[in-house]
Amino acid sequence: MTERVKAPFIHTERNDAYSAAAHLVSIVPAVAVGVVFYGLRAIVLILFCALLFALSDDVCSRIRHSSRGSILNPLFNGAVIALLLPPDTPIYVAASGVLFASIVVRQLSGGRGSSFINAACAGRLFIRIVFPLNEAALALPGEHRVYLKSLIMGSHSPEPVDLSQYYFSELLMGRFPSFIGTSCSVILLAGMIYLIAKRVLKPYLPACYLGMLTLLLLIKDIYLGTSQTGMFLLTSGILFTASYLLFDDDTVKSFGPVSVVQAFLCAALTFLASFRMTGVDLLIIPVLITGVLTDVLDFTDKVIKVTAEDEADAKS
Amino acid sequence: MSVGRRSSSFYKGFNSDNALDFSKRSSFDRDVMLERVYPRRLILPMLQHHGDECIPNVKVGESVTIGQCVGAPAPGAMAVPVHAGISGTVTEIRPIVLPDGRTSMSVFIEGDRKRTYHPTVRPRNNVNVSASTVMGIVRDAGIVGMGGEGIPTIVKINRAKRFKVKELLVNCLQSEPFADSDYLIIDEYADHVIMGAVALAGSCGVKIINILISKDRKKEITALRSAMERSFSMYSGYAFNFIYLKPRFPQGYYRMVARAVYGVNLEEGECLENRCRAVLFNCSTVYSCWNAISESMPLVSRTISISTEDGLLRNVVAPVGTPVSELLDNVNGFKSSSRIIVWGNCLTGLQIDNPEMTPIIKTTSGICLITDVQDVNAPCIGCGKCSDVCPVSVEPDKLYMLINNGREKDAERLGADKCISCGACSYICPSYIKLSSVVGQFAATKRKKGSFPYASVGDCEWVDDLSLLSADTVSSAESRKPVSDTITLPFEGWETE
Repeated sequence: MTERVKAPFIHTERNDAYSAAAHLVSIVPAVAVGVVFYGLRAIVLILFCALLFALSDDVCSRIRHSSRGSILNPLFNGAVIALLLPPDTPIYVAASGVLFASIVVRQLSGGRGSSFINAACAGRLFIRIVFPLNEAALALPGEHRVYLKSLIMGSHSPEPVDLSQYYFSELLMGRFPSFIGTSCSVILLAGMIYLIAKRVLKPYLPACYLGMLTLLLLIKDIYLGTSQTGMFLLTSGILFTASYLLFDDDTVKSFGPVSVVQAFLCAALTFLASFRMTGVDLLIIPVLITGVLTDVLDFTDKVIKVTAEDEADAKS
Repeated sequence: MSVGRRSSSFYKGFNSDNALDFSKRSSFDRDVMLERVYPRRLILPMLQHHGDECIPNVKVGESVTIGQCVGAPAPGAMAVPVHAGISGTVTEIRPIVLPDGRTSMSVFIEGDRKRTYHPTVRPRNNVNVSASTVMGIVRDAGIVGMGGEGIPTIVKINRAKRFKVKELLVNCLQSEPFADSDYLIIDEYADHVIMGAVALAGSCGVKIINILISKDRKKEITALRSAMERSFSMYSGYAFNFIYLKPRFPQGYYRMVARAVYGVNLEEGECLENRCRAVLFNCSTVYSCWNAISESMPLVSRTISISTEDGLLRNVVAPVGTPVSELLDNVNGFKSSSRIIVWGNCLTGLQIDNPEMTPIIKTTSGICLITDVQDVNAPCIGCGKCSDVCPVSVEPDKLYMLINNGREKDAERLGADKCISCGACSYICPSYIKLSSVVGQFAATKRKKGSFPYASVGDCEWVDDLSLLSADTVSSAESRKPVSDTITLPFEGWETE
C-alpha cells in the first residue's frame, strides 16, 4: 500500500539545505582570508570546529531520535564559532565552545529551530566567559603561517592592538590583529552580497541594521566632535554580525516588519554596547539580547492574545 | 465605455521576491491550439457543486444526447442540474466516492461517438434577454463557480440581489502554479467573458464591472480591451474598470480580493456582498454563462490545465465527467504511469489512486502529474517563512506544533480556524513540513457550521465558510440531504421567458 501524498505536491527549491549551502559558500572567502593571514592553525581550527559541531549534532539527534535536517547547517555554525576566535586559540578551548553551543544551547532546548538564541553566539560567549585570557590570543596577520603549537599551548598577544597605526587599506583588507574571519570588510561585504543574491538574506535587513548603527555613530561623532565611525565600521567586525549572526533562524523568526524592528533594536544595542564593550562582546551580546527579547515579546504577545480570547469567551 | 485603473494587492502570499520560484516553473511548452477531448464514457456525479446532491432523472439503458439533463435538483435544494457532455447510453447509476471524500450518486454514460445534440441546444436568435431570463438560464444550465468554490452561480446572483451589491468583479487572477486554464479562456473567448459579465451584471442589478487581473498579463488585458471595444454598442450603460493586482498566490480567493480591492478584512460571517457590496465571479464561470445564453449550451464541458512539474502544460476542453485516465490518454505527451496524479492543482489538489473511476467535475480546473515527491527529513527550523506568506496572518508553524501536541484549544485561540488551506506555508517551508494539511484539516473541523450567508435558489440559506482545499468541504456536504425526491426538470421554459 502506497502512502497517500497530501497537498501541496510541490515545494520551494530554496529549502533548508539550499540555505545552509549558500551560507557555507558565503563564508569560504572569509575562511580563505583567515588561512592566508594566519596559516595552518586557522584552517585546523575552522575544520575542527565545523566537524565537531556536525558530529555532536548528529550524535545528539540520533540519541534523541529526532531529525537533524541538513548537515550543512551545523558545519556552518561550527565554522562561524571558529571565525570568531583569535587565531592562537587552543583547540580544547574551541571544542568547549562548540560543544556548549551544540549540546547545551541547541540540543537541550529541543534541537534545531527550538533554541531561542543563536547557538554560535552562545558558544562564543561561553569561551569568552570561561577562558577570558584567550581573548588576547591575537596574532599579526601574515606571520608564523605554519605555526601549530598554539593549537595546544595557546599564545597571548603581548600588548593591546593600536589600530591608529594602520593604513586605511590595511584596515579595509583586515591586515590587523583580529579574530580569524571578522577583520576583512571587503570579503565580508562580498559574502553578504552573495547571500542577498541567493535570496537567503533580505537586503533590507542588513541595510536597516548597518544604516541605523552608522546613523547613531555619526550623531555620536557630531556630538563629541570625533570621527570614529569609519574606523568602527571597518574594524569592529559588525559586517560579520550583519551577514552571519543577526539574521539567522534562531534570532530573527520572520522576514516581515518585525525583523526590521529587530534590526533597529540590535543596532541600538550595539551602539549602546560600543560605549563599554569591545572585541567579541560587541558582536555577540547585542545579538543574543535581541534574540531573547524577540522571544519574550512573542511570548507576551501570545499570552495577551490568548487572555483576550478567554475574556471574550467568558463574556459570551 | 469607462476604463479606470487601480493598482493594489494584499501584502502577503507569494510573489517572486519571497522565494516564489513559479517563474521558472511556468516556462511551459504551451500548445497554440486548444485541444478538445472526446471521451468514450462519462461518469457524471450528481454532486459537483457546493450544496445538495441532484437526483438522476434518467434510467439505465436510456439514450442521452449532449446537453440533456441527467440529474435535477430537488425542490428547495441548493443545487443545479447536471447535463450530459456526450451522446450515448446510460449504462449504470451508482454511487462513487470522489477524491475529496464525498460520496455521490453518479450516472455512467457509454458514448456512441455520434455527438448528437439535444434539441434545446441551439444558438439563441435574440440575446437581449431580461435579467430574470438570465437567472433562469444560469440556473438551468447548471453553472457553478468554476474557480474551485463550486457555489451555484444562481445562488450568488440571488445573494448579490439580496444585499443590493454595487459592483461586479470578474476574477481573472488564476495564480496557482501550473494553472493556466482561465487565461486560455480569456485569450480565446474574451468576447464571451465581456458579454457574460454584462449579462451577470444585469441579472445582479449592477452597472459597474471590475475586471481583476494581474499586471503582468499583458496579452489577456489586450484581449479583453479589444473585446470591450468590439462589443461596446451592446453594453452601453455599463462601466468597465480594470483593477490591476500584483501576481501572487492566493490572490483570487475572495478574502484576499476584499483586502486588495476594498482594504477590508472580512470577519467570520462576512462576505463580499454584505461587507463590500460586490459580487465576485470567476472568468470561466462568466464565459460559461454567456455560452449558455448565446448557444443554449449548459455547462457540459470545461477547460482543464494538464501539467507536469517539469514544465509541460496542455490546456484541453473536456466534457465534465470525463474519467481522468481517458483525459490523460487523449492528450499528447502525457504518460501517467509512475507519476502521482493530482486531481486539481498542485497546491490545493488531491492525489488520486483510481483515475479510471475518477471524473473531472465542474470545479476541476487542473490535473497535475508529479514524478518526484520532494521530501527532506528536517525539523522545523523556526525560520518564520510560513508566517510571512500566510494570507490570513496566522502562524502555521506554531499551530502545527500545538495541534500535533493535542493543544487544540490553544491552536484555536491563535486563529487556527482561519486557515484556508491554500498550501502557501507548506510550499515555502524549507523543511517541507505539511503544515497546511494539518492546520487546514483542523480549521475545517472547527469552522463554525452554517455561518456564511448565501441566498439560495429560493430563500436565504446559511452554509459553511469555504477553504481552498476541496477535501475540507466534506463535513458540510455529508450533512446535507435532499428534502424531497420530487424532480423539477431544468432547461424548460426558455421560450416562454
